[in-house]
Amino acid sequence: MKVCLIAPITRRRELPRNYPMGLACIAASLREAGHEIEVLDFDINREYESNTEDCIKKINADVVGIGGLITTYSESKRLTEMVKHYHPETRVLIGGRMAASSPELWLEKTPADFIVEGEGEVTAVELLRALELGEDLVDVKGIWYREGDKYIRTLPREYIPDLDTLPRPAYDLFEIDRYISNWENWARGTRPIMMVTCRGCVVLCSFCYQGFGGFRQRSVESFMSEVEFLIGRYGIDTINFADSTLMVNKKFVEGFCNEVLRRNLDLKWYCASRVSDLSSKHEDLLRLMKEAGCRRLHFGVESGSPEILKRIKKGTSVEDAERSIHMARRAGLIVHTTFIYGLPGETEKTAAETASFCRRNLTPVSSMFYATAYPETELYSEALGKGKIVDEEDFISKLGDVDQQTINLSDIPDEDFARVKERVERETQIPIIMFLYEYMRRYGVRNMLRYLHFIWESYPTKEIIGRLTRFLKKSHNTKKNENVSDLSPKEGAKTTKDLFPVS
Amino acid sequence: MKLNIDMDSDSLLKKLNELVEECTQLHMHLQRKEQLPRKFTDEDRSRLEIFQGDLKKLMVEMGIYGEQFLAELNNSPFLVYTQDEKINTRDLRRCLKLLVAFRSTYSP
Repeated sequence: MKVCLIAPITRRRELPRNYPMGLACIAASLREAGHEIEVLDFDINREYESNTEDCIKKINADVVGIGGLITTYSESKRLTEMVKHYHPETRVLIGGRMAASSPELWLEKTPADFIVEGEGEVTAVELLRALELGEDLVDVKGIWYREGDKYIRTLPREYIPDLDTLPRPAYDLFEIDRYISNWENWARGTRPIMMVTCRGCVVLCSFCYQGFGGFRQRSVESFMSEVEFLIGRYGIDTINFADSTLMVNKKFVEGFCNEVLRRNLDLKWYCASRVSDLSSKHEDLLRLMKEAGCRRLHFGVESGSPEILKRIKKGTSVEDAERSIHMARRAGLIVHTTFIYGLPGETEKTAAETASFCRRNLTPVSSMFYATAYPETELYSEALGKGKIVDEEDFISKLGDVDQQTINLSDIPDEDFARVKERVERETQIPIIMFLYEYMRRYGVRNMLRYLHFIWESYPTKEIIGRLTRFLKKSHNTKKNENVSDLSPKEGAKTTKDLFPVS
Repeated sequence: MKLNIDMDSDSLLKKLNELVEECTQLHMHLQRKEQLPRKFTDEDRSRLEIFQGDLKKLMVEMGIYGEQFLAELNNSPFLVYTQDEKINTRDLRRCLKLLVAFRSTYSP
C-alpha cells in the first residue's frame, strides 16, 4: 500500500531539533513489510505551512498516518480534516502519544478512521495487512475504529518484549541534517542526535503517562551498531539520550561506556537518571561515564519537599537527590536539574522547601515547570474528579509544554499562584560569584573550570558575551562584602540567572 | 443552570461527592496497574463491584435524573474489548466524566 506519514508542527516558538522518532520507527516497520512510504514533515519544513492545503491535496496514498505529542492535538485534527476533505477514500490513522492519550476524543470529534494505541510498529503492519486483504478489523489488537454508530476498541496489543527485533528508524526518510543544523545555537560546533535505548519505566509518577508498559532496553551491541551507522552517515558526534531512565540498567551503561572507549569513538553525550538509581557504590560508574564522553547528567528532582515527593509516587527522596547531585559533580559531570511547581498538595511552604533545596545544592533554576494534567495520568484523573476539566477537547487543545500553565492543581490559590512561583524562582538564584566559589570549594577547581567550559560549549558566543557584559556592568555597582555562608541573593546582586541559564 | 434535585439535598449530595471521589481514586488505581503494568487482583474487582453497586443505589434514590444518568452510562457508544484477566478502565473513565458532569448540573 502507499502510505504517507505526516509530522505536524510541534513547537511553533522554536525550530525543531529532534526528528519525529516515533514516525521514523513506524516508517521502518511498514517499509520492511513492503509498503511504499512517503513523509510529509511539516515540523522541519515550516515553509510548507503557508500552503498546507496544496501539500495535502498532492498526497497520493491509500493510508495517511499522523503522529505526534498530545500538544499537537489541534494541529493534527486540522490536518486530519483536510486529508479527509481532499481524499475521502484515504484511511487516516492516528498514532503516537496524542492518539493513546485520548482515543475516544479522536473518534468522536475528528474524522480519523483508526487510532493506534501503545507501541505501533506491529499494530500498524497488521492493520494495513487487514485493510489490504479485507480481514476483520476486530482481530487487529491495539486499535480503535468506527463501525456503524459504535466505536470499537480491540484487545490491547502486547508490548514488544525484545526491542532489538525492531528495524532501525527510517532516518533516510527524514531531513536529519536540517534537524542537526537547528542545534547550532545550542551545541557549539557539534552534531547531536536524539536516541533512545529503552521503553517503559520502572515506576509511574502521578504526572507521567506510561503507555509503553514495563521497562525494556536494547542490547549494547544493537545500540552501538546504530551509533556507528549515525556517525558514518550523518557525522554525528553527540548523543542526546531521550531515555528518562537510562541508569536503571547499570550493565547497559557500563557496556556502552566500555564500547565507546574500546572503539575509540570521540563522542559526547547527555543523559538522564532517576536520583534513586544511583547509590554510593556507583561512583566508579559515574567516572567511567565521564571518561566515555558523558558531559551532563539530568535529574528530574521535581520537588524539595518530602511530602510532595511521596505524593507524586516517584519513589525518590530529597536525600537521594542530594547524594546523586554531589556524586555526579564529584565525578566531573555537569548536573542539570528540573523541578515541577504546582503539584497537588503544593503550598507556599513546600514551594519554599524546593527553593531551599536549590540553594543548598547549588541548583538554581531558570524556570520551573508547571504541573500539567496530561491525559491518562493520575493528575488528569484527579483534575477530572475535581471538576477542573469541564470540556475535555477544549482543555487538550490548550495543552502546551510544561513551561506553560494550563491548570492549577495545587493548594495555592489562583491569585497567588504566579507570585509564589516567581518568588521561588528568585530565591533559587545564587549570586554568580558565590556560586562559582562554592562550586570550587565543594568540587574542586578542575570541576569548576569544567563547568565554565560546559557553559562555553552549550551557549552561543553572542549570548555569553552579552550576558557577561551586562553582568560586569552591573557588578561595577555591586557591594563586595557578600557573606559566603548565606547563598541567598542580596537585593540587586547578580545571579547565575543573570550570567547564563545554568539549569 | 443548576437544577436542585430534591435529594434531602445534603445527604444525597454528600453521597454523590463520595462516589465521585471513589470513582477518581479507583480510576487512578486501576489505570496505574494497567500502565505499569501490574496484575489486577480479586480485591480490585471487588472494589469495582462495590462502587458500581453504590452508584446504582444512589442513582435509583435520585429518581428520574438518576435513571437518566444510568441510561446514558449504560448506552455507551464505545465497545471496549478487554482480556478476561484485565479490567476495562476506559468505561470507568467515562463513568467519572459523566458523574462529574452530573454533579455539576444537578448539585445546588
